[in-house]
Amino acid sequence: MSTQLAYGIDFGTTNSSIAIAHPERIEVLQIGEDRAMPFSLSSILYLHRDGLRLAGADATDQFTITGNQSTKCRNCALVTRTRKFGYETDCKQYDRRGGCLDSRLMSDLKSELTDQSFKKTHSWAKDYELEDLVSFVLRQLKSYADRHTGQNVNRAVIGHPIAFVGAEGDQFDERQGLAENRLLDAARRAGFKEVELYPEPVAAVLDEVVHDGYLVAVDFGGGTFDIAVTSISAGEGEVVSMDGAAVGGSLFDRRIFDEKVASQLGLHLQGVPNWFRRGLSSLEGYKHLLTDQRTFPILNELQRADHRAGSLVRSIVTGGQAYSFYKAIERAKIELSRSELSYIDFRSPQGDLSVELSRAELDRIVAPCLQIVEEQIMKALDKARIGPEQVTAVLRTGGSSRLGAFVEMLELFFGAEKVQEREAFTTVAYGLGVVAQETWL
Amino acid sequence: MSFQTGDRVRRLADGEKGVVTGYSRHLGCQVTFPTGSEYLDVSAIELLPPNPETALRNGDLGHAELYGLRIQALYLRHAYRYDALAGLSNARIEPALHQVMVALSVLSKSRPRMILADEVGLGKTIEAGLILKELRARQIVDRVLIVVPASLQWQWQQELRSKFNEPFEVLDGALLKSLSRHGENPWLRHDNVITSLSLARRETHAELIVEAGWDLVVFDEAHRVRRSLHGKRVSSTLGYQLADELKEAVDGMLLLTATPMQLHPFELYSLIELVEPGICDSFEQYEHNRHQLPRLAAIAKDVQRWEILSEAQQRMLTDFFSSHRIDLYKTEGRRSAMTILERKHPFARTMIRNRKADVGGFTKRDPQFILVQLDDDELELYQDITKYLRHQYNIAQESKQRAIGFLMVTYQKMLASSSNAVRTALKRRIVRLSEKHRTSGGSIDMTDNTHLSPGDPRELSTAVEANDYKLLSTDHTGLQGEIAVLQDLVRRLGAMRDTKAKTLVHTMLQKIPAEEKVIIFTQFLETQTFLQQTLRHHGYEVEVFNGRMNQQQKDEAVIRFRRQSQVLIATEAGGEGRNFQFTHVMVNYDLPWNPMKVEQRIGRLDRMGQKEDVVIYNLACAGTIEERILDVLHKRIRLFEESVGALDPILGTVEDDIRSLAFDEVSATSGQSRDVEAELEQRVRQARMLENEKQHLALDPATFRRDQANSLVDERIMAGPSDLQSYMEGALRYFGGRLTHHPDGGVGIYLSQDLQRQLGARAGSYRGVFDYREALEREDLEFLAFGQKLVDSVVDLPITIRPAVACHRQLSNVRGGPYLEVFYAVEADGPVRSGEFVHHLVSEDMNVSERLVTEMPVIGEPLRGRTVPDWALEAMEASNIKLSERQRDMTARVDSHHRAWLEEEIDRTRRIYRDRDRRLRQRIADSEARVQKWTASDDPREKRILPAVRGKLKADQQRLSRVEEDRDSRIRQLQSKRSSVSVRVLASAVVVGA
Repeated sequence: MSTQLAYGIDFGTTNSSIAIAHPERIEVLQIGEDRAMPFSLSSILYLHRDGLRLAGADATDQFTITGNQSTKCRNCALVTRTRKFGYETDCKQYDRRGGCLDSRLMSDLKSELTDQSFKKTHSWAKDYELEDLVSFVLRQLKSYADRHTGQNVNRAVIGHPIAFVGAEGDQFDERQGLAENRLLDAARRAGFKEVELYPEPVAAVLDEVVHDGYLVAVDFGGGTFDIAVTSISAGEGEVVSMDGAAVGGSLFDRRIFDEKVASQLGLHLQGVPNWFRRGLSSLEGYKHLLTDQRTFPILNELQRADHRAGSLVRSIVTGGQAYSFYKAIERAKIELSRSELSYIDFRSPQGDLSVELSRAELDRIVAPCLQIVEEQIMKALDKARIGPEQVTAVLRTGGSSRLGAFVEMLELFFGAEKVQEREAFTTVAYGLGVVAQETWL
Repeated sequence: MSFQTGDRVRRLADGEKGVVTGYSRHLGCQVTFPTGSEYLDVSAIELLPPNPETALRNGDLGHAELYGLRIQALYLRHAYRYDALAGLSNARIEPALHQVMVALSVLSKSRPRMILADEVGLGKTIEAGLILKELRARQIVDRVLIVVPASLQWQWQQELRSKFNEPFEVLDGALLKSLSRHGENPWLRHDNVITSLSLARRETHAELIVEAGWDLVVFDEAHRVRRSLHGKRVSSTLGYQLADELKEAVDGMLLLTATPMQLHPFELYSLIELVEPGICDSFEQYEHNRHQLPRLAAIAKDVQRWEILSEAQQRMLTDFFSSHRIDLYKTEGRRSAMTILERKHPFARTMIRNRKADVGGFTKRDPQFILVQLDDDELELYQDITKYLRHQYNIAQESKQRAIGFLMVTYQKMLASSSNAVRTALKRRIVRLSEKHRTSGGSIDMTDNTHLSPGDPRELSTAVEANDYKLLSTDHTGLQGEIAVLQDLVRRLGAMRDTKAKTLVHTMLQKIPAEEKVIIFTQFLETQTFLQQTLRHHGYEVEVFNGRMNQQQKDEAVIRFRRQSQVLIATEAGGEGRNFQFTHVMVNYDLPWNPMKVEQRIGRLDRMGQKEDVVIYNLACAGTIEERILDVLHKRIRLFEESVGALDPILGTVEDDIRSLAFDEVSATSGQSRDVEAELEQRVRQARMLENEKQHLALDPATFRRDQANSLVDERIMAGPSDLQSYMEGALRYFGGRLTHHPDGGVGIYLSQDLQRQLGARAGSYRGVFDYREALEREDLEFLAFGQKLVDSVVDLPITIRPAVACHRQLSNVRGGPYLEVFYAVEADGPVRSGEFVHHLVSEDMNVSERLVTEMPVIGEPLRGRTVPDWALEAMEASNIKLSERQRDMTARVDSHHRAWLEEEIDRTRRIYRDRDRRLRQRIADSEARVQKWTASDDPREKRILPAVRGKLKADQQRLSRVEEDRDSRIRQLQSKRSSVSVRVLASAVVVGA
């Protein structure tokens, strides 16, 4: 029999990762659901009235299909009509003339862990406790890892922040304790028998071999850019300055959409409201369009004005093609880290869209954003009172940190030899994997 | 669906092809035909797939993915149509080998006509379903009529729906009435019809049924369709007359009966006549043939076990086959020998019968008897109640009040079931009687039936509730007296401890380990509730299952029982049609008096797929009538050791026998009861003997030939459930839906708003299973296979919407390139059917490599920015030339099969008309004799009928004069039929290897 393995799990607010502790090595699992962040699973949960639950990119994908479907209470299978007692149902949201959506998408579960009032959510006559919801995400991570290892691993170390969001003031102990207990409970419900908690920041530094000097860590992700300058002497690090800005990959995608795609979809036509164009420009915004009653008249209007473009937009909004549409934009962008030319290739049964995108164009599109990023880097160095030449190493992480223009900018600024890539979101998971290995193997 | 200018379309009315040249909002599509252009509604035309060659020439290339999905969809359809038994993977069953063989031998006939006579429990319904499903896949049958006993209509409907995705309509009297309002033939309104024999045989209906026309007719319990011989006179039941009318009008005829051997030889002969009219010239010839059967069967058996025969035996066998040039020492030779035997066996092609003993794989039954020792108080009370019941029963019998009689019999059964059941029932009777006593003071409305409780009328408890207000004595004092007696009994019952329940718990604790699942059967809801409480009290997890629960509640109960609970308590009505072969321990907490009901209980567990011996615990209270009943069922009928299915016809009276045992004052003490039992035993013994005697009538081994079975197993099916699932997953994703594994088992299918509209689906999400093995365990989930609406419509999508017939694609299983690939369907249509799915890969130097596609094609990857090479059209031509060779081969093959078919059909037609001729002559002779006799007679009654007889005689004479003409025209009709081979170019792509 093979050795019983153990996992290290980083359950994050937006993204989660899992590391497999082998006796002789630690392996952060390549989940691969998202090309930009191959090692992480987005901490999003999808629930459907038929009991289906999905976590990660699958959750979002699935929501694009069912997000706008609803069932009226008078047709609902959860309600039984009896001659004697009238309506009978376990559903607390029953309303004779009402109805509810067939599916929901939930995020930020981690931030709810300290909320004493959030015990459960009632959907479709079922009560989901917060621990259940979190356990669905953990179970998804576990099943990916189990499939990879071929074992049903039931030992895990799970990271926890020093202070959970919402654990503050005089209730700190109480709330922090509640959150930790809930996390433990969720892990057990996800199928782990032995569970340990371990502080995330400690785990994060477990695998870095550091030299004295100034270390610059830049994290350029989907939504934000963060920079931290750490001064290191004798192996001890001290953060000397931090900065950040709300620019990231999804902003790039949105700008590519605005500049290259919107006109192809007929969104430049007169009468298309701004909120609609803005909504359609990103997957986030699209999710709101999906349930917005105002969307449908506009779809009809568009189709009348420009049949081809209108059909394409319709296929994105109500035809279940949204996910592949936004992925097509992202893919073209990522492709340009390697080549000079790529295509935004969106194919749907209602029609195709193929837009050429060159590296030069992308550089132009992201230039304003990179300007902001550059300013943040300068500011951070200024605050730390150092120049780029004093920096010993630059660690870049995050999906957007692979952007060609950004890498060139860093290398020009600090010198190519100092810039190294670190996988985003894996350091904590890696560290937790090390702890798991030390604990059980 | 909307059309675009330039689309090639077909006019549905006459198949004329044209091109869309315009559109008007008011007039519809403008379509130009060779004959001129006209405006047509979009529903009057359908899109023609573009010609791949044209598409290539015009550089009109589609999505590689859509192209790939189209190929897969066409392939799946092709497989469904031409796989040896596609019905297998498209049915929610785990078919046993013998069922497959039965289906195959029926389907190998040029017409699906057969008596399916497997023993009870071998799954005749499934065999019929398999045959139906396969005929459906081959697109041979559209209109199907199933005639069953009224009590089985709903079960048939449910099984065909859930196991085969075959929606059937049950036509009962009420529905017929509403359907026939407009003067149309109501039997034409639905293509899939189940109806009851009692309804269908009525003359008014029978005529319309025959007129409606069917492709396949199935009679279940066909032994009830009876024609018998009384002396020299033949008499037919109305049911037989219906079948007789239908036999020549329909191509397919299946007669299902488990008990052909219990029939009189003439009755069986009559059934054979329905399947293959005229196979024997007369009943005498049939009898003559029949007597040769044992010898043939013995020879067949010897051929099968050749290896273990002695040398002398082998030599004898060789002699038997000396006129045929075959070598029995070779497997091949023995196979031919079997085929020869089959041909010699007159009934091998008319009746199939498998017996459990031959099929094998059935586990044993292990009956356990637990005698409950009642204490003295209990026994006394038991006897007092029995005394009350007997008294009432006997009075009721005398005054012919059948409802009361029924009530008392049922109370007796309740008493035997549990103290709680009888107590609840008696209490209810007190209340009802008191009501009567108070309100009407003696004058009692006997027609009161307002107390009917809801729920399944098959629940015995329900029937009791409907009757328990009925009174024996209508005078005041009698009523008061009865109430007093009852009150005393109820009081004593309340004070009693229930030893039987205690014994059950004790037995379970002692003998049944905690991981073993148990099904407890009882006849009464009251007992069920009481047992549920008792067992829960002792820490058991218990589920209940009864006829008052709705479908969903039943499904949930079964799932919980499968997953976690140890005990399921089921009533008769609840358990119908449910299979529990995943458990092997059952308890008869009480025993129905009808042995078939007990057999049905056991049959829930003792069936195909049961891996262990079935343990049957039977509880009975010592010294009561129950002990006697158990004795009859066990020792006389041997119910618990072997299947009594074959005894069906003779077991009908057992319930009456037992009732007289229970209620006859005399029988309890004297020897009369012995006689009843002995008589019963005698009947059972006779029936069993008959069974053995006539077993050669069907050439058992013919249906169960190992060699055929093995070759079937070897033959890989073209497409299975996993292929369909992977197609559905890809197609749904492409068209805007998702297929996801569901955490609660099976898959979920979700459709976007647009896709839902496009498919005309009624919901946005579905749950289901693809694999039939999994489907068996999850009867609550939709079974996703061909024939299921959603599946069919998703398979249609890439074929019927603007399809991609040409594209560029990259294939991982191809090297180098570019090539031109072409897919063809080569199909023979007509009486002989056959189909091939062919793939050509043509290289630039015009080298064509050809292969038969026998597994699901891959989707491939799209290629960007390539143009169609200039040699593509030349390559297409080379491919076409190569394919014409294959077409020639197939044509030759089909022609030879067609000739064989024609020969057989002409033979059959001659036989049928010879038979008709003989029958007509016989009838004419009879009529003539009658006319002659009655003309001379003075009897006014006979004189009155005379004109009618003369009329009939004349009609028959006319018919006789037409027989030859009819036959020849029928034969000409057959001769004019062609099996033609056609080729369709399905798709073509420029292909590059990965």
